[in-house]
Amino acid sequence: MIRILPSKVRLVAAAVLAVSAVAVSVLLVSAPAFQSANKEASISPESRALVRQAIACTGLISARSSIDSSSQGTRPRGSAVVVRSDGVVVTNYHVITNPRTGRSYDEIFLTLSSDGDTGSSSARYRLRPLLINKEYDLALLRVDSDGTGNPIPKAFTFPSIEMGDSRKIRLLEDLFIVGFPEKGGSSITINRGVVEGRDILANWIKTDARVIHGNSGGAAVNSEGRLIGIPTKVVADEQPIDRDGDGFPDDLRRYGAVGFLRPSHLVAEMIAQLNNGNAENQPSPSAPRMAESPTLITVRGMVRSAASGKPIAGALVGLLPLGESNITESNLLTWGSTNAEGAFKLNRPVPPGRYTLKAKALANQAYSSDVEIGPGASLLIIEMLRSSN
Amino acid sequence: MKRVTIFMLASLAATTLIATAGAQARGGRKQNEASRARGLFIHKTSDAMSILVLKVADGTLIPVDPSSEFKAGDQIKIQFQSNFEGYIYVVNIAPSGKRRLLVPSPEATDNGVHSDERYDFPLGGNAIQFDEEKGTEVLQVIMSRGRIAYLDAALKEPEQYLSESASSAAAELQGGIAKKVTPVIPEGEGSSKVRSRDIILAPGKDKDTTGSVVAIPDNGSGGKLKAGEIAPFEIRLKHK
Repeated sequence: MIRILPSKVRLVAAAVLAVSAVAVSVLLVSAPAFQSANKEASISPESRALVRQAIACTGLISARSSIDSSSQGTRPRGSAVVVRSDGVVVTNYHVITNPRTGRSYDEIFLTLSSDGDTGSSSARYRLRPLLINKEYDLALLRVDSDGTGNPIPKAFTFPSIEMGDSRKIRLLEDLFIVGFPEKGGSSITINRGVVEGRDILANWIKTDARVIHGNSGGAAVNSEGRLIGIPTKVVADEQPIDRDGDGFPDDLRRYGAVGFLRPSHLVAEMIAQLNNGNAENQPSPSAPRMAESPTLITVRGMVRSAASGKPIAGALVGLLPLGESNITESNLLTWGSTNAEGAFKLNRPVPPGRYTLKAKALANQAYSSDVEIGPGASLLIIEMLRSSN
Repeated sequence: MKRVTIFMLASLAATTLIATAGAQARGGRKQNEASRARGLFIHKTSDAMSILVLKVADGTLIPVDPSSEFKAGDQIKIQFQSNFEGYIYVVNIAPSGKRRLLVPSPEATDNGVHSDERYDFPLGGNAIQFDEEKGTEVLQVIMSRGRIAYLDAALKEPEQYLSESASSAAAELQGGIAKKVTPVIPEGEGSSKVRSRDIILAPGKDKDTTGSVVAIPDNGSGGKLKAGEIAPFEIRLKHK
């Protein structure tokens, strides 16, 4: 690394081109603020009908552990969504986990009703954990029996939600949170918001829709009623308030919150694992299978001239989701630039998969190619063509 | 820990031209090219620049061969002289690949150059000093007839680093900075691209005050930069 410092020379030549060694203060780059769409904007009757279909597929999770007092019944823990008509449901791992023991509750129940009212007309089922992904805080469970332990007829069909493609959602798209928040009592609650942001690598969808305790594990659906995410956590912006000016905070002021959803494609991947494996044949309800989380790969490579084979310094290289051509800050997954030897290391590791690779260097044509990133193929060689004179 | 620095001048367009004084002796073709570059510079038949690398030694500035070796703590200055009216940009590419705009800077935003005027980099009593980080530093020097908006935009980035944020990296990869479009911005595929001119080189030597010369060869199409054209070359600083 080089630095610009006062020189040790007594006299320097006349200077016109000015470069000073004054330290530059670091500027804070604020994240772009996306403005929420007008929530008052009307929803078409068709959309309303489609979103309402999610009600019958979304249930209340209640659970208890054997170490709990025998007089204590099951307690509401969160929400869940039926994702397969044979009784496979998804929820958050933390919804079915006893925080005292760190293990799944011994008894987990799902209450479903056609109108979202979990009163006397609703149906109750006992669930068994099948597949757990602790990293993404997701769990797939299967209906084992009805609430009293009687088997479910094989021909029985559960109302299941239609899966959406969370990879294709766009900023400011409408979404609806369907679930059983604690403050909403025992009936289902739906509220509306928009997609405020996406963190593609960390696998989050951010929303301004209200997400509170009890929504965890429920459904976030688009205006077609398709599942695009699982409400998983909320991050509040709380700032300390020093009321008496003594330098110590006396109170916290909450300015707002951002809801975080796990994208539904993670659920689809878990269902695929379920289909490919034998998780449903696990002998013990307390031993669900652990989902395989992809190992992140640090992408390295080299950029060189196609004509001479010489390394190109200062080339900028980035990865986009496969097939994307328009490069924005929200779809640029990872990037880096080449050093004197043409070598680069992208700044964020990515899961294995296919991506679109882009590169740009002065005096060379823009480069674009689809690439496979895997454990054995993380070293990329980019050959760039000279710009024509 | 000691560090050795080697200065090398290079054409980004044709890195085979990465030159050292030793390379000059490789053949008559190189010698002819060097004579031609100096001739183009002096007679102004092509756009060209002379670059003089000066090492701070015993309180004075001494011209050095680009292949000279430097140690940690050594200080250098670089003098540019152009034979054309235009702009120069200087980007430092660190061994890690990080890129930082050195010229222009927030303190000196005017990077315009005028024919026959000599410019010091850094300005005044400042010098480039090598720290302990090993590897090859690159100073990418870009001659341009007009301003280059995506580099100008780096002036607003923290410490003038290029593509530190996702937004600036996306803008550069996509092909420019919105709202500041000029003909010399690198464009995306399908649109007009930056045109880069080949460069020929005459490497400098120790104690040679004429320094190195880079020039755009006049291959029948004229050796002058046109609107939308850039001519980049590299100065390489190697630490060992």
